[in-house]
Amino acid sequence: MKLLTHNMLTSPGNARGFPLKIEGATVEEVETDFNAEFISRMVAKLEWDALLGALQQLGVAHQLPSAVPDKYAEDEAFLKALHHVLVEVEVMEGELVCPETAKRFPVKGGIPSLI
Amino acid sequence: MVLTSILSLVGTVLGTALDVACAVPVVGPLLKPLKFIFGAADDQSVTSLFTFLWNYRNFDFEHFMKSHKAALAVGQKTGDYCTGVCNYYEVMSEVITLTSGPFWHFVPMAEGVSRKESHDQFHCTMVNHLDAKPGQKILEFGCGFGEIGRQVAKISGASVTGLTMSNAEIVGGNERIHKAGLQDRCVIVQGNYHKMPFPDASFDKVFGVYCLKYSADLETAISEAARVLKPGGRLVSYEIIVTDKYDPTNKTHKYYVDNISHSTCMPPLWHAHNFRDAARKAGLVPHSEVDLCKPPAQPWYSCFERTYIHDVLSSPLVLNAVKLAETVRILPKSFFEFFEACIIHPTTDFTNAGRLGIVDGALMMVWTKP
Ligand SMILES: C[S@@+](CC[C@H](N)C(=O)[O-])C[C@H]1O[C@@H](n2cnc3c(N)ncnc32)[C@H](O)[C@@H]1O
Repeated sequence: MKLLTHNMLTSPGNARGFPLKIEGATVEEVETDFNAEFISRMVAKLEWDALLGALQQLGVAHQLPSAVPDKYAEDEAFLKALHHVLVEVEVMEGELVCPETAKRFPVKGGIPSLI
Repeated sequence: MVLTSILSLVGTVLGTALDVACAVPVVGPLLKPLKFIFGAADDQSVTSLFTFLWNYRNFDFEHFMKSHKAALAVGQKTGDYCTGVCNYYEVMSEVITLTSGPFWHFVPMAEGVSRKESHDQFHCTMVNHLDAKPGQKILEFGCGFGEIGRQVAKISGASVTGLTMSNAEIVGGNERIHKAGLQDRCVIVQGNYHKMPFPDASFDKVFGVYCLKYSADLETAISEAARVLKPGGRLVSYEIIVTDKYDPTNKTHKYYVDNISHSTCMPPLWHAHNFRDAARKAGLVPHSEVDLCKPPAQPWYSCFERTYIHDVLSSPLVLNAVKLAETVRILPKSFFEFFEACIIHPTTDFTNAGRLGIVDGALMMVWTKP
């Protein structure tokens, strides 16, 4: 599960089940091609605080600012740092915990299960 | 493994040679039945049937059929078919892929156009109905191994999230995403479309193919699809339904339609008006509705007719041969029951119900969210 995916997952049937807390995670880093346009397009769709929270829970070091910079589309250093955390950091195993009900959902083989 | 590869290679070579030969005037049409016998190993053909038999020679069909029937009974009693869906696709996702390839739905076909080309065409049709654009976020619910989503992503440049239920599907779907090199834009998530694990207004477009037929609660499923859709977004549903001609008091009608549901662990099929009502209740606005298989396209079930698979599977000769093979233990225990319920019935009942005009498998419905 990439953090790009985590960023859009919520506890099923719970309007306040976002963002899911990540616990006991095994993380892998996979190098992928950088596509500035793609990452730049994603920025507007992100829940920024949820992303920063996830990074903190995973203990992944990063160089992201606490808020999205104004001229992010031209900021290559920013887009590269974002590319790394969004698509190169992969949660392989672990659990997603609903912030509202504490219900737990597994991540197995990199795939989140929210049944 | 080796035998499977040889069979599929032989199947592919012969399949291609036959395609060429069948196009020859006069003798061509006479060769057509051979196509069914030696089609490709992942298409509807005898080659694929043998590959399947070989791969599953040690499979516990007895256990599968027991759990399949028990899960159907639970679904019929409680209206919750989720356990049944998981149980069915845990096994059938591989079986369907082996015997029919990556397409678990019917699409319009035309004379002289191959099944694969017809599905490619369908993927473009889907992209058009979705009005999918680069950078958009699209959800495909009930995605199976996710082939349609990957094709939509490839053709349109959009990102596609697949949502489906069984373990086998998410693992197989994830592998296929990696094989296609689409891991930056495609992802698969395990979840129930009646209770989607996504926030409100998170997708530009949402679609489902041949999956709402598994819902015993269409209103909830469609309201969930509408909820995760952004205002201005589209919901596209391509489903198999009963038509106005279907008369539940007619025994023959009911026999075919019930069999379709029972063989794949589904609730009774819905009618188009059930979809329209559910969408209206969910606050969606009708955009378009087309039957993709209006002539000159061949009927939606024509894939079974053109390969003669319907004729072969519905012949008593084949049934008795399979029964005999199980008795003398060439085939595993309970294979006959499985073969009849999960392979023959879907093929023959779809074809028969389609010929009667009581079931339609090519309705494309599109709504927008205001
Ligand atoms: C006939 S297959 C169609 C697969 C794919 N859409 C296609 O047409 O090739 C039906 C799919 O719906 C899924 N499904 C059924 N009920 C579901 C539910 N409640 N939530 C999510 N997926 C479901 C099944 O797991 C299966 O993948």
